[in-house]
Amino acid sequence: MPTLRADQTPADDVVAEAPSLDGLYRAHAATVARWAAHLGGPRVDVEDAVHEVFLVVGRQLPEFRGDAKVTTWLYRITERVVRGARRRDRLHRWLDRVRRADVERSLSPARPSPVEELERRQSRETVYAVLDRIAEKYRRVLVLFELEELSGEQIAALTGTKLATVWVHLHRARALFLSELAQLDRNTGGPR
Amino acid sequence: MKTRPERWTTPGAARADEARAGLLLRRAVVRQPLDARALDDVRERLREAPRPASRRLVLRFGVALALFLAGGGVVASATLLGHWSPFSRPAAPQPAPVSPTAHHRVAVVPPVPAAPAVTPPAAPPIAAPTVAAPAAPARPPRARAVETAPEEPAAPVVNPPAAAPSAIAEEAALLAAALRGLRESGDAAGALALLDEHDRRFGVTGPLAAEARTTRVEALLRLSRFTQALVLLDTLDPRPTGRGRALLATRGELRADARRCPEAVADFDALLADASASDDTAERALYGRAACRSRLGDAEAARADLDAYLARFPAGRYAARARTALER
Repeated sequence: MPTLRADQTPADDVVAEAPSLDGLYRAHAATVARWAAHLGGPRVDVEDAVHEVFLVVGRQLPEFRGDAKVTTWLYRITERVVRGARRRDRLHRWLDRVRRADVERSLSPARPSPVEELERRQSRETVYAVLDRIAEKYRRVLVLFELEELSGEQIAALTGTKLATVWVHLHRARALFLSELAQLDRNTGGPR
Repeated sequence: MKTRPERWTTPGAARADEARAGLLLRRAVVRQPLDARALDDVRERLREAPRPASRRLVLRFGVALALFLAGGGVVASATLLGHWSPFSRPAAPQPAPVSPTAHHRVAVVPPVPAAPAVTPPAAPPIAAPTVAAPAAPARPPRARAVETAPEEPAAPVVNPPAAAPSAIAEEAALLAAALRGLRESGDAAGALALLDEHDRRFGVTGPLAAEARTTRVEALLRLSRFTQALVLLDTLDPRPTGRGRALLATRGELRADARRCPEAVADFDALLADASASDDTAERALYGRAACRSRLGDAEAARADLDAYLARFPAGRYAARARTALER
């Protein structure tokens, strides 16, 4: 059974005494959902991802000895699940395209969306279109730093890398992001 | 890096491209992707989830059983062919104990159209009947074969008799290795290499050729090589029964993705012909057909499909999308 350490978060504290699946879920489900949303982007079903993560957690819980922080353990499971979901989703991506391009348009008169919501959705799609072109190790650091707003130390702890590596990856990820964004703009005829 | 970088998402970047990236990233932040109700729903689903350990056991048992059956088929074939029989005559000029025609039927089994599906991981990896079943009826019992041997024309046997059983065993072992790598280790690239070796050594008409092709489809899908998977699926003739349903559903989706909607609709129609089917493939087919019909301009039929989808799968994976589409 894991014991509470100084570097554990308050959420860890909730489950430190009794790491039951239910306790872990109560303490971390919202965080896992946010990780899944940010790592996966708009095409990953967050609800399904959270479900799958906690299925894995339930399966691996008897073997969890507390060698790593609970949050680190959960993050790594989430990352694996999201990566799998992204792979699977590519097969079903056409349904999204159809939904956006055809079903919404042809089944009904267009319902105007609020401008802010529209901009938000378009921005999110642009961000993940760019992120999809970046190698996993860079993408991960950029997402955790910019979207999750984690510190370098927190990213290093979650991903099991050195702090210096985090900064190098972030530097490289940013350069790639800007270059891919510029490329996307050129392909689509200007900023979206 | 000595100084810690500022976040792009913090407004005030000096460079225009960084400022734009920051704006995009700020808008991409999701503070609460799931509300309390959605989280409760997931918790309920977790409580209802079956224990996964038993699935692994079933998978392992299935693989072991399939290998056992495949091995048994090889032994049975070899015995029936007489190569391992103590009654076979060692002298070289003796006529073959079975007719060349019958022998040919064992060596080159035509591809089985109803190939196993690629998606259910618990499926036995090798369809043993492909090896064992055709061999048994194709051969008369050993004693009768010896009796009738003198009446057979003493035509030369084309295939070396001793090579056939071991070739089948090797083919089965190669295919089993590919499946094991694919399903247990997720090594799709390695599986493809083994399948290439299979095709080089045994061609595309061997006894296990159909299984090799469906395994190749599965590996290609895992590598997201959808175009190649579709090319291969186009050569198959999956039936809307048993494990062929998953192949048919996948082909329909890939055809739709390739903007071949009429063909995709045909695949989905075949899956939906059995109105009582309510499995995963029926769900995919119903929603896929709605999308295709919409793309083909038949909004009314698309709407009917979406209504039917919601009636049959109210909590299905596309239910939210279907409702959104119908509301608009």
